[in-house]
Amino acid sequence: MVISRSWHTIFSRINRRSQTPEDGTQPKCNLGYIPVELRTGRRQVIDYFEVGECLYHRCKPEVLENPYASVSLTELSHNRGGLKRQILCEPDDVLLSIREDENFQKYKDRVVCILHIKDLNQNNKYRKEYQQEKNGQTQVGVLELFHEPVPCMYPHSVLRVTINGEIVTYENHAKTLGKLQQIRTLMKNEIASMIWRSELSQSYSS
Amino acid sequence: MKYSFDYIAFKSNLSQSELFGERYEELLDGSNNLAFTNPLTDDITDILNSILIKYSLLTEFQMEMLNKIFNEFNNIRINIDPNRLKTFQHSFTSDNELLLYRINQRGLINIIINPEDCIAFSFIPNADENNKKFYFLYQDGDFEKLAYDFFSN
Repeated sequence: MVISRSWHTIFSRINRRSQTPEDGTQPKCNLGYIPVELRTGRRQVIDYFEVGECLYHRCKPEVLENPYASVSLTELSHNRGGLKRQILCEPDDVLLSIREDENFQKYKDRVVCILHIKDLNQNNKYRKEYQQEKNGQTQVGVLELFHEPVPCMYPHSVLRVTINGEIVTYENHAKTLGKLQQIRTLMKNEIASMIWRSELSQSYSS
Repeated sequence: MKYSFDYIAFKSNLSQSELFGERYEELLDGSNNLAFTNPLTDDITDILNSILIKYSLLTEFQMEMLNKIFNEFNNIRINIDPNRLKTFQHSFTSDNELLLYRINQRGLINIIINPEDCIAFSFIPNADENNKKFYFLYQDGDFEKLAYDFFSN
C-alpha cells in the first residue's frame, strides 16, 4: 500500500503537469484557489475506469469507523483518482469547495474516504445490477459510476443509483430505494466493501 | 437475570463508594454502544434492554429480530461457552437500520436489521476478498448460524 501510494504521488505530479489545459480554456471556473490542473477546461470525459483506481470521497470521520453505518446512497459525489497513466488528482483535492456559494476554500471538518474499484464489466465500466421481488414484481436497482467533470473539478465523478430506471434523489429516496430494503442493503454493503481497507482497521483488536 | 437480588445488591454496594460511586454507576448502566466490554455488565438481557431503550424508532419487526438474535447469544453463553461472546457495538442508521457490528483484525462484521422484511449478515475481510460473506435472513431463518457467524470471525 505504501508503494502504491508513492507510485500514485510520483505519477500524479508528472501526469498532472502534462495534462494542464492551455490558458483560457477554463472560463467557467471562477474560484481562484482551484489549481489549474484540476479545472476541466476543454478536456473530455474519460468514460471508462480501471480496476484498482481510487475514488476519493469527502466524508465525516465516523464513516471510516464502520462505512456501512454512515454511507448514503443519495450523496455519492467523488473525485476519481485517474488511470495509471493519467492520474487526475490527489486525495486531498476532494476537500476543496467547488461551489461559489460557499465562503470557504476547504472542508476542514471532513476527511478523505478512499474507495477502491475492485471489478469492472467488459467495457471497463462500473455497473452493478440488483433485483428484488416486491409485491409480485421484479424491481431492478442499478449502481453505476460516471465521470462527470464540473468546471472547477475535472476528476468529479458520481456513483448513481437508479430504481427501475429512475434516478434516486433525496426527494424520492423514501418512495424508491427506501422501500426496497434488500437492494439498498446490497448496494450499501458493496460501497462499504469498497471503502473498507485493512490499514483503517489495524488499530482495532477483537 | 438483570434484576436478580445479587446483582442489584452488588450494583448498589459499588455505587455507594464515596470515591468511585459515580464511575461504577456509569460502568454499570450499560447505556453506551459497547456490549460485552465490561465483565460487570455482561448480562445479555441488560444489553438487549439498553438497545431497546436507546433506539426509540425500532419497528416491531426489528424488536422481534433483536429478540431472536439475543436468544441465540444467550444460548451460546449458557449452553456453549460464554467466552465465545465478544465485544460488539451497535448503531442506528439514517435508513432506520439497526446495526450490530464488530471490528477486529480480520475485518468488519455487520448484522443489519432492516425496519421490515429481512435482516442481513455481512463480513468484509481486511485482506482476502474470497472470505467475503453476505446473506439475507428472514423471520424463519437460522438465527443460531447467524449468531455463530457473528462471533466466529
